[in-house]
Amino acid sequence: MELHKLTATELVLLLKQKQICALDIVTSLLDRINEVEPSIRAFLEIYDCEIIEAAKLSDRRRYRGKCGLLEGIPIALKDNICFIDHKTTCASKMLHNFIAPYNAHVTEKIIAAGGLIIGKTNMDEFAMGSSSENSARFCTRNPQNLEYSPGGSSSGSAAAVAAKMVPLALGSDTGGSVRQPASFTGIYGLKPTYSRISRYGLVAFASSFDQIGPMARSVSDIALLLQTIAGHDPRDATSSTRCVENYMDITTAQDLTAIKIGVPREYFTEEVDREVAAKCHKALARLENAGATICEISLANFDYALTAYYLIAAAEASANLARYDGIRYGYRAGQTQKKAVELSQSYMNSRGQGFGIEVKRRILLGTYVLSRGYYDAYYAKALQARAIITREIEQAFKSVDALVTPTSPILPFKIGEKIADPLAMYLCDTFTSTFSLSGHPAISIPCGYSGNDLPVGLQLVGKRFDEKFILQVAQAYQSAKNT
Amino acid sequence: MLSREEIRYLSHLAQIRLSADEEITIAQQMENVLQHFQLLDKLQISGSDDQEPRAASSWLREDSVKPSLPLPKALQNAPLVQDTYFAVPPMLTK
Repeated sequence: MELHKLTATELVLLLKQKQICALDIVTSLLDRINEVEPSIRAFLEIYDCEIIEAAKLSDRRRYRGKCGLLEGIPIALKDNICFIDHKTTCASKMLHNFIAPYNAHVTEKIIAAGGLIIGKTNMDEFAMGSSSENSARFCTRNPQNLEYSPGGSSSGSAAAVAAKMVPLALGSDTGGSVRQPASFTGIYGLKPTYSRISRYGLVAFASSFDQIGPMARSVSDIALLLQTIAGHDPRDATSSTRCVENYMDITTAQDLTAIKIGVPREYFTEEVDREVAAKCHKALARLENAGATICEISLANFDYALTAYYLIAAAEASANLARYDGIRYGYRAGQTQKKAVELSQSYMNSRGQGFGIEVKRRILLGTYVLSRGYYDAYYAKALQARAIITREIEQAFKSVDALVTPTSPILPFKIGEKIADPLAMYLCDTFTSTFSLSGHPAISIPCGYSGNDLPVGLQLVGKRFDEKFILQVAQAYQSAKNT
Repeated sequence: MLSREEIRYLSHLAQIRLSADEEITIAQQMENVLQHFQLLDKLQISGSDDQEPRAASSWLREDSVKPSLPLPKALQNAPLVQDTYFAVPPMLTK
């Protein structure tokens, strides 16, 4: 049996039936990694020896009848999520040798549930980018076509799942960094409601947007991982105290007959790639055939969302990344020189040499919009735009149960195609960043392939904390697609 | 376009040393991005539009003493350590 091809839910069942053990899964995945990782390069680190020992321990726990939700299932972590005593580099020279002194909340939850951490995945530096090309280490390739980008910034997590090197991975989504790479690689990726998952131990980029999200090859797997990591954590002051639903109870296909899905007309203009629009329309027709009512709606202020997102996120990044001073941790320039430089020069040099060009650009942009004379014109106005857009989406949800848009306005692009034009790269986040601004949950669902065999993703957005509902609709869509 | 002086001022505020090439490239690219962002000027904003996107869900914890990061863990990532302290370059030069 080729275990690497199975989903986590299928593996959990086989483990429960004692047909396989955790060590079988790990062996199969490591073989798969050896086979395809040299050409895809999804991982920054693979804990091959460690995970074999962890699998043996998991098998012993199972023998003693002590099984967690993820018992024996390998999971990859994006390299901005802390795993104690292991490197957490954010794919940056700045943190090239940073060893996490504690576990992230999600890491604790995974380990407590019996999950096995197989490695850390590549990403755009500090999660800033949409292609993996901003990684200070190397570029990850799209398993669907190695000439193409897997999207970003959770590039390695998406590629590892799509290439069947691991059944589950965690990414982080600030403006679309889970959903866009999920769309580009043909897998599922969920950005939960802001505050549903603790950010403790996630390296901060833009704190009012950052959310950790599961990535997998099936809706059930997304539910399984979300179930494991969702919930209140007192160490994150924004973490919600709301009860966690039973997400895994989505196996019975949702009856879509009473469901109204809104399609914002602003997301289906001529600027959207024709093949992307065609696949999304086909998916909508499938949902309609399954009983859902589809209606056109308008999000009139959609045009301002991307701008508001980039301005606020850059401002927050400029503040969050001020902590990298090369003193307490991180890269310090000239540290081996006998004659030390002055403190302020040490900051300037360390940050100048430690950060890549995209990170510098965003910090400077954030500094600019927060500086005297520009604060009101840019930052304050972007905050007002955020409030207006959020209200508009809340208003839309009074008449519909979910919203559907393409995840990305374009098909995956070739590596090198957009890297010289930051604005063109930012525009990739046009459809995802709206719901990052508003904090609503959104999932990218694979909905077909272009004529060139490149994946297309459909974005399904729910009301706040309605993750279970969008997972049910996604499951129903999947069932309708398979019949 | 953003002037060289403006970029240098920003790099000083952000405490990031830029090379001469980076100053030119970043100035051009930021200019393009900021031009696009001027789109926001068209947004109709009334005086009553607040800046708070949603009710803040943050809360305050009890001000109680709890164990902090053990010293060896706190120091393990420091580029330079002297005894149990972070070693820093001098703040003032002679």
